[in-house]
Amino acid sequence: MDTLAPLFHGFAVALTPDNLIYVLLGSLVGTVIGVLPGLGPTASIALLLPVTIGMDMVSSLIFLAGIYYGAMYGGSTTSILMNIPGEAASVVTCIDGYQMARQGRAGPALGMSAFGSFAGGTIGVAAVMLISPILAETALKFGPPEMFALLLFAFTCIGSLTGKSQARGLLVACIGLLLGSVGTDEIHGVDRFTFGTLYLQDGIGLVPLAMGLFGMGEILYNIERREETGSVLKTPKNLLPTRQDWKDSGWPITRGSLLGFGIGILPGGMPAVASLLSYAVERRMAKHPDRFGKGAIEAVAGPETANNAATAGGFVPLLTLGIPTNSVLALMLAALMLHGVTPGPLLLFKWPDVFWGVIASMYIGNVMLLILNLPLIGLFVQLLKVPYRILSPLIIMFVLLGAYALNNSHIDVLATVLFGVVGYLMKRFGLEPAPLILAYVLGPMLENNLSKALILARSSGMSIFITRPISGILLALTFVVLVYPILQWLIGRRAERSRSSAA
Amino acid sequence: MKPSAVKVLGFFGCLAIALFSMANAQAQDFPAKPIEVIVGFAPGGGTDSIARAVADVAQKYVGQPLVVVNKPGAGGIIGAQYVNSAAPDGYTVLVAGGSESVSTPHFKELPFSPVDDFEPVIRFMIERINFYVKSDSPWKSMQQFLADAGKNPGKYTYATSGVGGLHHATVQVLEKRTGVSLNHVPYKGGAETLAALAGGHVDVAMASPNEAFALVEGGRVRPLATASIQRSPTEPDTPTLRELGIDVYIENQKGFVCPKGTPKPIVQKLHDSLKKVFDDLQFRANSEKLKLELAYLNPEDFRKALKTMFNQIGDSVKK
Repeated sequence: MDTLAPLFHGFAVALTPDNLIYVLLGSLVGTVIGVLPGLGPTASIALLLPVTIGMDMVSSLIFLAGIYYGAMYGGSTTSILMNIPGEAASVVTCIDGYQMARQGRAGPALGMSAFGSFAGGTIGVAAVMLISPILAETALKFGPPEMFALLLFAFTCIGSLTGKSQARGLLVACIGLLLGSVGTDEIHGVDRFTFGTLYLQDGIGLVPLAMGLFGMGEILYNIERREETGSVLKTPKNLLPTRQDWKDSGWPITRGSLLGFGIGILPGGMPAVASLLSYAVERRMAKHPDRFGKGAIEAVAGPETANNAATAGGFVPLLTLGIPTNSVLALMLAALMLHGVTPGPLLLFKWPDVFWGVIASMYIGNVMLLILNLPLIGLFVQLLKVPYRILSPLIIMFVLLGAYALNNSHIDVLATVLFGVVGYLMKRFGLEPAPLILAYVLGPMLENNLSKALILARSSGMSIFITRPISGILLALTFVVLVYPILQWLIGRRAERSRSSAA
Repeated sequence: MKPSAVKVLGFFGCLAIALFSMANAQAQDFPAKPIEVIVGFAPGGGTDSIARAVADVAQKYVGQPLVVVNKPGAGGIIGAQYVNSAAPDGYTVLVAGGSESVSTPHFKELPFSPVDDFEPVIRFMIERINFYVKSDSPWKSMQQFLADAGKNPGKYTYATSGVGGLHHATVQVLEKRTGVSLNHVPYKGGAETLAALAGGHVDVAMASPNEAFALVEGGRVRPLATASIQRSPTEPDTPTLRELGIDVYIENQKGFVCPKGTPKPIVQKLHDSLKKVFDDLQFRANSEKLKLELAYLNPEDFRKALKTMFNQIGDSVKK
């Protein structure tokens, strides 16, 4: 096998004692960063970059990559335990993950998301290794029309997040769309709803919005209800997923890996879209879709797998084309360049040690993270035994610290508090925040790509969406998804009518 | 008793001496605490890279650590405003010279003047602005492209890293000078811009060589021209627009500026120690690896260069 010989060489590089320590260190630092809300891999890698200049080339990359995927592992922890999504990608994890925690199943939720992350990461790395060059080429073909079609498809999936009442869910999603339109329009540079302030020119920050609506809102709501219900979270029963959990999660993890990787390689790759699509797909495939939103394990396993696979997918355009699809990957690019390595088509030939060493270290890192995270689950779950009156102010403190650390802006802190109050009111009136956040994230992207596609289409106008094969197929799929329930309903009604007329 | 003119003069004289010596004393003690280096963008971009490259070696020359603080938002304006309203004592500096200084103000009303309301300290580098096409593009030269675009107004598209940025402004100046008319497709940042070009979605892309080198080396895109005044030593075959008879000279500069009103001796002292950073061998080696194009200017020349670009863009862009 052609691919295996260099991979063995890569393992030889990655398995030296020094590099093993760096994998471990990177994974550890990454996990801690991921667990702390607001503190992300971008700032941490920027700070650590100078430290790595003196290190061996391969070691430094192994270390930084470890931080990156380690942070993705850790990201789900606060979503599940405290309903605080650290980033857009873990918003959907909150929905069922936190419900599981409330039912005393935090352990299985954390365990399954760790395993899903492991599977997604490993399958992603394997795909990077085997089919990078071909995929990079295809991903470039994904232009604004295709992106628009994909986002439209993602939009139809928001409907599956709406919980009890579809109407309320869609109402909340519309508010999300409105909030998303705040800021300078990216195509024409026109300010919308900024009220002349500089702060609002970039729109409303995702982190203040998500941490406020979910985390702060949840805490305020719980404080109010504590008297009636006693402890909010049940004491966790078992730590590890049950046999039934494994059975329920097998396919979601497989599908999440493929889906996440596919979306991760696109320019402007969006782990948030990956996890949302995975959630929606799982809900459609599920035998009992009504379990979703009430603590279904496959709703945690699928999305958590997808966002880790998307992380691995992001390395494809970086390593093969030298195109970083997000700010962490841009820092990785800087790290490569500091060591005199030029990413791009020649990387594989000129620096095989770097490519295969890093790939091999990612396999090892994923195993390490799994081993590292399993005992940590016990520790994290212990956290929930801390009385809520002590735990909740601590959570609020971390949330506010995180809100400040993100952009060093005190306005972000105020915004977090404001959205916390809004989140509390939403909970009181039975409105779910998840559709709001996803509409807020996807809306501007949809608009942006629609505008760009229309500029590119020039005179041909809307037909660009149908005449290009990838976007045509995606739009057809969207249409089927939208029309199918109506057809089903019509057929059901006709059958009923014929039955009743026969009777 | 009426104060005599002599007394009044004497009082103001003493005051002036006192103030002057205070400024001098300040300059002598300067810096007595760490200096905050404000970056108006998130970690990972060109502005952030140069700030960190400087901060890494600065302490031994400046005598105090330089602390890089990212205050991203509104295309660098949030950071600029923060420094603009900071005390003019040399302890808060801004990494400036790019879009936020010379191009954004022509697209938007700002509460301050990004050129006049700051004291330039030193320029460290430039980031060239190049016109790129896909390797298999029919245009072999900038002249061919301009001739073709001239015959087909509004037919061709160009990608940039965003509305109102330097890359967008550069094309607007070019349009004004040559009379061609192109369609703007704004992306988010250089990486997306180049991906759009490599994928064949746009006809031309504006980017800097340190973003495009991997795609150039891989034979996917090639530069047609540069908006700088001199050819790049690393791309000797890429002509400047001026050579082609088009009067466009715009580049993305990166240097340090202080709030307006910072005492001259402090600016001078800061400049002198930062010049030593600029000459430091390790700084140079790191910059070269990051493909940063070092280009020193002293405070006065930096101010002139900023004005040149500011006015050039102002002439072509309507608010």
